[in-house]
Amino acid sequence: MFDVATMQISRLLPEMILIGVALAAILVDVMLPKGKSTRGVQWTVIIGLIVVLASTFFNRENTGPAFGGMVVIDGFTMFFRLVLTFITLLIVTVSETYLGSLNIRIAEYYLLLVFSLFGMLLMAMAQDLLIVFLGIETMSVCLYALVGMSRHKHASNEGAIKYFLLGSFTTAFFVYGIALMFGVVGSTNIVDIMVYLSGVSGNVPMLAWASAGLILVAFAFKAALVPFHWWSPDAYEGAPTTVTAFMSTAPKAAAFAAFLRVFYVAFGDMSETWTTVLWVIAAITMTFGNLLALRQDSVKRMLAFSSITHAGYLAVALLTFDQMGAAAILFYLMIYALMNIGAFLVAIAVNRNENDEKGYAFEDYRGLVFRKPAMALAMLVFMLALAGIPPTAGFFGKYYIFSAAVKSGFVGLAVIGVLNSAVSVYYYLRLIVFMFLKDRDEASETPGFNLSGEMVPIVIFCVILVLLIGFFPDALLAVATRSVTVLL
Amino acid sequence: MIMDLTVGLNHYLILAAILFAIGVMGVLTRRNILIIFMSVEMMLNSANMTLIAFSHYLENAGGMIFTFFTLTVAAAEVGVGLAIVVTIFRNTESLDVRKLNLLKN
Amino acid sequence: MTPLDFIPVLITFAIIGGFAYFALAVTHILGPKKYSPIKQDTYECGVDYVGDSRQRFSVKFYLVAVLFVMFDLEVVFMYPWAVNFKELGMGGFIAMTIFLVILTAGLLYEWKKGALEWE
Repeated sequence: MFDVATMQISRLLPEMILIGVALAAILVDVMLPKGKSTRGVQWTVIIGLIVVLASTFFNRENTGPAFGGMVVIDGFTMFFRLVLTFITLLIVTVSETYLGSLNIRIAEYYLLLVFSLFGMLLMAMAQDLLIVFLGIETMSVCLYALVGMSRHKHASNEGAIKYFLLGSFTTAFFVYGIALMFGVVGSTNIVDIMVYLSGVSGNVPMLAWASAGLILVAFAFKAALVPFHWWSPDAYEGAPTTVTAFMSTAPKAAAFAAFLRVFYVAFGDMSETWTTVLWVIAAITMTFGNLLALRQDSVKRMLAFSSITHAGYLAVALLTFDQMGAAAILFYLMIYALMNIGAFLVAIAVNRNENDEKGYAFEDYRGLVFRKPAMALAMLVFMLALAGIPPTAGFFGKYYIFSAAVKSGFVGLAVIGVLNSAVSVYYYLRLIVFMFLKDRDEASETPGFNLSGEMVPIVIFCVILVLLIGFFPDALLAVATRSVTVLL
Repeated sequence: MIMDLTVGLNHYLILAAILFAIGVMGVLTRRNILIIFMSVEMMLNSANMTLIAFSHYLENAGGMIFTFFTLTVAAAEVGVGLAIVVTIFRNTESLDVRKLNLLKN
Repeated sequence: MTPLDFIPVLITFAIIGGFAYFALAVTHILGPKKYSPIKQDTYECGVDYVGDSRQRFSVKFYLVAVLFVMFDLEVVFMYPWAVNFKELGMGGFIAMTIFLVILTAGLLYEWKKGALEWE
């Protein structure tokens, strides 16, 4: 009955390599002398993640369920595996100098990133609510620690504890939801749930509704949708900025991966109800995030609130419940990661003093284009992309989302979304305007920039990809569309 | 008029639901981080109780196995959570969430 | 079943409550009262206590406690495996070995980082 050969372990080769990398990194950390260990761990992780990417690529034909249907490796999993590993690789590459400026150059930073990546990969491939739960928790526990990384800063502590308390609060909701679903169906497998729910055909028991509601709350929390977003601005602001860049992209992508799999496959037969609930959530998420982002004077906080808005756009695509919407989510997650990480990196460079409470002010960007034209140009591209202005990739991301919404008949919501992205142009352009303003007193000290050596190629890379996808969006969209065929 | 006093599935479920509700109220109304934390643990344990009750009555061991994982995950959460609490206490000498208001809109 | 059927239950409650208060009152009135420092103590017998229960503990205790909780809970997974050792066979053994290797890496990490040192 229990046989290793039937578990199809080879399908999880990248994940196994990842765990090997994590263990190797731990060993490197404890073996090397104190001063050198972070560099050593960083390099171990970089090489390891490249191997993971390569093994995903070469193992791409090896698809199907594994571990008795607990997980499934398909195009959808592959897409997220590549995107998530890629994001982590970017963040790992750029972190070292920045951590040094914060005086938290410790190897655990990289270890936690790798372990949270593992949790996210579990979320992307989960075909059982147990695995979704384990994935979410592996990811979250690492993120709690990452947010509180600069442990002598109040803001970091505060962000971490808020994130932690609210995160564990929703975990309890999630487990309770799964428990009720287990009681109704007798299994936590997503396919079993789907079979059961389509079997009762419209006559869904009360407990299943309660369960779906609780699970929806948990996912909405992880994806930072209003009204479950309270943690996100504080956690994003308190965290070291590289962690913020990571948190606003990769875990969000993983949350939407699990969201898609659970709600499209397992709760597909209940779609009429949950799309209605999500309609409301998406509408208020977009509006609320925007209204708060408008009032921010800190670039970091503005990006944090705007990431709530972007989660709202993704929720719009989610509730279309068709292939086009799902593909739009994947497309948007990819480009959002590129433009957001890029924007955060430039913000790190412009910020003069990490330990200053008033860091990341819009004022710092005054006259940037005259002092650092290349950096200002990069920021310009990222801001235009985030605002969704052609010819950047951001335009096509929004275009696909709203056209999917219109096609599925959610015209009202699409109108709200378009209006919101028009509003969002204001605060993105505000930053651009600051960059083009002349310095008031040019003689005053020019802020010292610290766009460290390793950040330059990553920023350039993000700019190129954002523009490239903007000119040739079809290729990525085709990949995304092919990836989501397994869901519907 | 012999009353049926056997404890059935519903009793467990109702008890778990009550515990869960008490936990939610605890999180929403208490101000001490550790007590909020204990309330969260109570919510998790009420979910565990539901799982085990279903597992017993459905004669399906899946629920109990799930409980193992929940317990382990809760322990990991406790580890990280208490570490954060210790750092906060070192910096602020207080565990009152009302004092954590540095970050405001 | 009518409400009247519950009267025996009410009578039982009344007797229980009445007896409890009766016993308390009687001992209060009849019992001799001799106060002495020992009687005022938190614990009348056993080891004398030291200090206040609200005192702060060293953070080292916390560290050991958390490590204990971690390793304690890993045993949860070993029991089902041990019980079904024969049925799970070689595959189960390999799986558990991998599990333990990962756990050992964690232990090694703690050790080298000095989490197990008391001083």
